[in-house]
Amino acid sequence: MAKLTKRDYREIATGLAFLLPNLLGFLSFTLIPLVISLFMAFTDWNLEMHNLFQDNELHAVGLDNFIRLFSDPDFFTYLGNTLFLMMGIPFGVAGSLGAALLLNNDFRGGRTRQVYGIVIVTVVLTVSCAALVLTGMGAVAMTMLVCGTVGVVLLGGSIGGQTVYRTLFYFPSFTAGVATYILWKKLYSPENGPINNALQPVLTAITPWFSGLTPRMAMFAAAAAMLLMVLVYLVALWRAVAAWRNGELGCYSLMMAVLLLSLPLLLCQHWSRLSWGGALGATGVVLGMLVLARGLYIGRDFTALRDYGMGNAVVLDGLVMIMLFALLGTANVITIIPEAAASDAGFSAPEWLSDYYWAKPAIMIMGFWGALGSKNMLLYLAGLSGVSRELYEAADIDGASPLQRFWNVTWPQLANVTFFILVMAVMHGLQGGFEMARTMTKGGPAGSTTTLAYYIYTEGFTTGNLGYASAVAWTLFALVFSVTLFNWKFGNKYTNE
Amino acid sequence: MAEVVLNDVCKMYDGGVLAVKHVNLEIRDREFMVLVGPSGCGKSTTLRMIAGLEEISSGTCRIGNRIVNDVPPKNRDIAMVFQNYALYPHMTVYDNLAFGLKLRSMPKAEIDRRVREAAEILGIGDYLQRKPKALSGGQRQRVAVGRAIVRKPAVFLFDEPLSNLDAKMRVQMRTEIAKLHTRLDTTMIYVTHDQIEAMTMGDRICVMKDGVIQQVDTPLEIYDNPANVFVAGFIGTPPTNFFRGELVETAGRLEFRHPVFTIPTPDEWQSKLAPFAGKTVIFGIRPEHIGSEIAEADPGAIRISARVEIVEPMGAETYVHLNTGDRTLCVARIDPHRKVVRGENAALAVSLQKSHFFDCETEKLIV
Amino acid sequence: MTLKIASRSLKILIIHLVLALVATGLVLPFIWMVLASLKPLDEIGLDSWLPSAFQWHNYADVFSMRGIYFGRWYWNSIFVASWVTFLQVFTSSLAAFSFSRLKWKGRDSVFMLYLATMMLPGLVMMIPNYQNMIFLGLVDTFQGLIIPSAFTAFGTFLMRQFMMNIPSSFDEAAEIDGASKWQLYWTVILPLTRPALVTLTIFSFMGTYNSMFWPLVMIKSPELYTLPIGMLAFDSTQGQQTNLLMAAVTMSVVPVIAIFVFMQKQLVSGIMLGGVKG
Repeated sequence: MAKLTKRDYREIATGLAFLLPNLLGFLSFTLIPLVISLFMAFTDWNLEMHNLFQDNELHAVGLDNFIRLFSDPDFFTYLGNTLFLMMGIPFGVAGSLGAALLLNNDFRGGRTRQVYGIVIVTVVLTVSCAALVLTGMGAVAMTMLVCGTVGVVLLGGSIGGQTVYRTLFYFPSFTAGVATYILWKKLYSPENGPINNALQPVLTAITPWFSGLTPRMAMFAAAAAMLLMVLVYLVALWRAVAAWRNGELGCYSLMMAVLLLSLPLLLCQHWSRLSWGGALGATGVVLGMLVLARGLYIGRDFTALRDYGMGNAVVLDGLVMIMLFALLGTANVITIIPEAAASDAGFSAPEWLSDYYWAKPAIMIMGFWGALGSKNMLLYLAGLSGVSRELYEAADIDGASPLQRFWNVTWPQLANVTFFILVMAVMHGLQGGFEMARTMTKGGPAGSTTTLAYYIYTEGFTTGNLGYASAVAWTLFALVFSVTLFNWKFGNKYTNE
Repeated sequence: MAEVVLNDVCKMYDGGVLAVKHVNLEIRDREFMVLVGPSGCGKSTTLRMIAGLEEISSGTCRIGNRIVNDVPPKNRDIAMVFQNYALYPHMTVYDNLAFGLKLRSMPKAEIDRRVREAAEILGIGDYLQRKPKALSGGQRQRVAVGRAIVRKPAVFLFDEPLSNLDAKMRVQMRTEIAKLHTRLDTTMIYVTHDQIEAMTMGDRICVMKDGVIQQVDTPLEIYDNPANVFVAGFIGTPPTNFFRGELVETAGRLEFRHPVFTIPTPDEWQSKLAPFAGKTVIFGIRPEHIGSEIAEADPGAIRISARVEIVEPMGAETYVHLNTGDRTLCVARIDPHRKVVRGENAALAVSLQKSHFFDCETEKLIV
Repeated sequence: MTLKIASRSLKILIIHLVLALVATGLVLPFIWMVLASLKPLDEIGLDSWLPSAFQWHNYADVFSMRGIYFGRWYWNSIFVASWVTFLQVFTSSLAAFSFSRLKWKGRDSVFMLYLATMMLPGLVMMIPNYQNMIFLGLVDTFQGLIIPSAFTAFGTFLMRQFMMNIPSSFDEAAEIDGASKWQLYWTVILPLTRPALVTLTIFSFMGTYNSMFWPLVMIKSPELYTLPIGMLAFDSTQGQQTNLLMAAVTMSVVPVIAIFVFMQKQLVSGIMLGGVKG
């Protein structure tokens, strides 16, 4: 460190003077609390027993809080819940990419645009009138309403183009907050919420189709789905390892791939009504690890200075993850079909937030509603507009099909956006779920929607175990921090593939 | 009105990079001095040290009678025109011009008078209420100059002010700035990488390379008597042709022997060249001294014959690239109406009067 | 040729249809919300979304419910959000100025520290901050809500990103013009960063307006509730009155929508700024 000159001191003084208001706040509400929080994690600080105004003695309890944490099955349940809810991320990212791709289309119809608008609206109105006739009087108003909305949206879209759709798409995520959670709580209302009102007739109508399904057949079907899931997992893992051996993936990308692929299987236990589902998932993971081990054994040296293929690993495995998850869901649904079909009332709509199994998917559906047109969509749109025309033209001259064009031109160009989105999503996902849990479910039923964040809240502010809550918060922090480290390490490298 | 004197000025950046090395430069009062050199040669840094935007690591900078090393820019009585103009986009042209005066709490009437005066000089009076965004490149350039004028500084500093303009506009602004210098009669220091700007505008030119001043002199002196190989190559287009060869003494005279040709040296140079007999030297000759009308008319000219590789007619003259062996090409600037055919040999007169020999080791001018 | 035009038209038509359907799907919950807020209570559970008669007085009723100080909460939210926004914009633009336009030793290390804390889970700080507020006696006051939120690493980061893109010749020109650092900040840099200021204003306002955790922890008295926790109280005490609840939800979303509609452009560009570069 060079000696500071007079000028340096003057500069530092000026710099700090401008920084001061912010720095004060930063120190007193971020940095110092951070230190205190770390200290608290090693004490029995309790809101009821002793806070700063009482003279009760504070005890240093060493690692007790952490020991309690890691021996607490609840903690792992809640960690599982958090991870489970994060499974919605690939769906949301894929959705927002899809939305961005749709919005990025060339809407310019030249002078005929207005004509299109009118034609479209006419079509919609005709269709809705036809629907009115067909459905009879019961749902007249509803049909009119929906068709009318579509018509209005179309009219707006044909006149305003991208902006109108983008605005509408962005609406849900922009308004997200307690208000919309309360709204969704009402939408999900099992007795007479609009979702179940609409769903129940459909379910009743399709009940007879499944009357032939015996429990045994259902079990087989479910087992087949789950086995397929394990198979898909193994194949995907195999491919990832092979790609690594060919040098298409760096070792960190491989690790990433393994992690992403294994997660749905590990969560089997959590969301499967099948007692053997968890065992199957565990077996799958063990098999997967064997695949990995074999790959590593005959593969190259595992140390690599530079990583590459991160974008590929993330997207391919994200897609596979969606598939795995869909299969898991299918298997779960199939198992309950025969029982429900046999009952007098036929299929009944799920009780959503009040059902142990459905609460998490319900929250994820709501999350998807918000994620489709979220910030991520806007980021993707910006990314898409940054892809130069020449690249597409070159691809066209090379004779690429639309899919190939997406895969070879669009996707690589969006790799850095995707990476950023995923990192942010994972970081938020780990810390998330508090507002939804507090507003919609109070963490229930039976703790099935309690995430780590909500757990910290209840431990810290409801129960008052500030020490223990701090320990949980720091564990969460460690998780988030590892994501951050990952980001720092690869933040600038993922595009060099 | 002031002179600017740099005395042994160095600029050391963090990390120990010496960007400007021991610069001694005296810019006289009312002089138009051009600092020219390739990018990274330290010319801009030197200018910014005069402006006070960069700290002077060692040495002194004097403006007028003051050592200004520790004087903040605003008190140095200078004004600067930036490459990207740095016009405040949220202010009108008028406010841009007036900003510096307002900060000095000048009376409103005086500000108004000065702004209008400057606007009139530059012909931007009609745009005073516009924002910079609504101006063309040339107009912005004028506003940027105007901002300097209103201050009536002792020294004007220009940092590559024309490089953002298109070619035509650049030529026009070049003459306008030159006119402005005549009109304002102030010291101006002008940084550019364009040697044509340097030649046409400067009272004197300071050629820099790698943070070191190579030569300071009037444009023609620099052109005719470059101090070293770099200056000879940098100033003038097409650049000077260089040949590396040996000085050999034959029959009491020194001859320059190149692998392909041999050139006798004029009598009056013998004494200066004598110490380099038997050594490798660099022979430099400008294109216009090969095959041009002047060269052909020079009775002392020697004739060489070489194969024509490329012919580039420019209209007023024609550049001919001659093969002088070893894949090295030599450019000659000949009369456009003289017939030369690509692929054939041409016999051209070479006037040695204005050619030069450089020391091969130091690259400095011998004669 | 005609075929090509026709197929292109068809493609556009299909894209329009798909987009319109998706957009409708996304907006449907809001339509239900508005319609439900206009229904009489006994029509809430019916299949039809449309009320038999539009009961506009539901909206007025919200304000006169017992134990629901809706107007008060509305005001509280806007009051708190405005203060926090003002302070955040002020402190972070100053800090960003220091981080981007001034050169001083150690600047980048301090900035890295800032950046690092941006990644911290806010939860970690909440617990000690709560103790902090107890200690300062600010629990259950607006000061307790406003002060800890008045400083934002994110805002600093956003503003700095923007300021970094301003050419440094503006500073130099201003310096030669004789501007002090404060004048440089106030008369040159701040006007130049207007787009970022607007964006940060929107973000801060929205963030505070929607924030739930901190008010939930800090505020105990119903008169001091902000909208989010007010809505929470509404839902848990008189949530059965779905029509009134939806009226309240609608009203609480209206400012957000208004901001969104009027500020869309700045918002989108701000997201790009904070996102792509971050």
